Amino acid sequence: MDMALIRLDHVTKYYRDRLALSDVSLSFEPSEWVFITGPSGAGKSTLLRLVSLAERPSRGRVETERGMRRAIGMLGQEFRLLNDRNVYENIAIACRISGVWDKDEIRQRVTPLLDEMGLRSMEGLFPGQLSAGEKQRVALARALVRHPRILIADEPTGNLDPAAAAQIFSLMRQYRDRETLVLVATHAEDWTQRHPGRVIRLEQGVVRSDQARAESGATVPDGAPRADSGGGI
Amino acid sequence: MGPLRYLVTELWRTLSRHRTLCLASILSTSSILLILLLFMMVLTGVDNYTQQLESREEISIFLNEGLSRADVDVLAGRLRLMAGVDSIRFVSKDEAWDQFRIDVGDEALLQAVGGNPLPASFVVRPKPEYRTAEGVRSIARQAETLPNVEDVRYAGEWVLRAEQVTRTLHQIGALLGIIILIGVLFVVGATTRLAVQARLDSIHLIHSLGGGFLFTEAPYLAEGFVLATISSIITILVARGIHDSLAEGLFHLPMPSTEVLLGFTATGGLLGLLGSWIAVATLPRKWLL
Repeated sequence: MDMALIRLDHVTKYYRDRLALSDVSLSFEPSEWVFITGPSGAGKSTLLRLVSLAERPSRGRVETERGMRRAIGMLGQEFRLLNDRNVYENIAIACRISGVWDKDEIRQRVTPLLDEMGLRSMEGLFPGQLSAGEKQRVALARALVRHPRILIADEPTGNLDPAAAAQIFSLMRQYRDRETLVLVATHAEDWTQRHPGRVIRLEQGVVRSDQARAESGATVPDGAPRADSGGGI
Repeated sequence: MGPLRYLVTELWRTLSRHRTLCLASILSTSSILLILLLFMMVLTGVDNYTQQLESREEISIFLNEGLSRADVDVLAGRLRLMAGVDSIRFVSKDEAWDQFRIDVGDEALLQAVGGNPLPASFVVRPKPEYRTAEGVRSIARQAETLPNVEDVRYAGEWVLRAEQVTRTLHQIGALLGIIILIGVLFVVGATTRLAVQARLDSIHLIHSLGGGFLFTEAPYLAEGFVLATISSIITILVARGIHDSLAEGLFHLPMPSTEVLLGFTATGGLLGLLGSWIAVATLPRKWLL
């Protein structure tokens, strides 16, 4: 039985005449921890935008369940918080967007996240009053409050110091253990060493490698999710 | 918090954050709407005046001096047979003089006049379908041709002219209405655009979270509607003030009826909604995506 949450089938993406992704075929399953790595311009962000259903491919297909878009949580390098709302409201807005309007239900969803992220004492503060690490934790809480089936993080630690970055990875890791597919785009290879999982390497819009990496850092040839890229793995 | 309450909260947030912009929009829109409402009030006054003139549809037919009772009866018979005549009433010289005395009221002036110079007359009331300027005029023209008639007086000419003036004013009003409509659309639309530009980051973010119409566009449509409705209400209050200040003087500007004012407010609000909708709908898509 096919367990894939989302599948890219011979996907190619152009921006005007520029080729961003070429003939990529990948599939992702629940509870997977996936790093998308590669140099700048390799196509990491494009791949994430396609997986998040924010964009459509120029060729090929992105297959997933209906309504999946609302089950995707996004985390970016920029914290992108609403500056005129406090921490609690920044998280609660995601509930309302997904159709949850009951005040008590929103409170029940937001409060545990505030606790997990260490933000409980800051729920009344506004983004301008927070450090970079705190802002990113608010952004992560917002991404998680809708209980996403897919969490997509695009360079989530790019603006954080090492301690804050480690905290963000640790928090994301917890959610992978809760059946959530976590996709992390990064060009910082050291994170792929510290957090074992599947590593997909892109170069010039083509998948160069797709392999699972064990705790020790060694690759795991068997049983690892496979890419089926015509781009020349 | 339901969607409606969210919308109200967002509206309040926008209005309080962009106070100066909103105030400028309200003042501009009110100024434009005031021109239209004052013109409507002038038009209402002219309409009332025309209606008063139209109520003076009776025709006075003055008779030659020294007519016998038989001559008067013959004339009365011919008047009754004329097309458009509903009823006639004979006013004798004495009755005319008595009425004149009541109207003038100054005994010294009446003594200066000497004897009764007023002629006897028939007052003709047209049938309802002839109670127009054209109808009154046609009866008067027929009456002028009758024997023993010295003069015929009626208000028809004035009614006709007043009707022409009213028609012209209504046409000007319609044109003015269109210009005002475009003006309101422009002002509210420009305000909405500025509000959208000021909050583009928030809109992008909410859109990226999957927020649809309610979160990205509805707050601005509501803002346009509310700003224009507030402007309409302020316009009515200012017009009421002008009306009250003129009430003591000769020049009187009547306020339109409550129904018309409610319609004015609703139209203002809908124009605001339309203006903001056009502004949002014509935004470059890249601004919202």
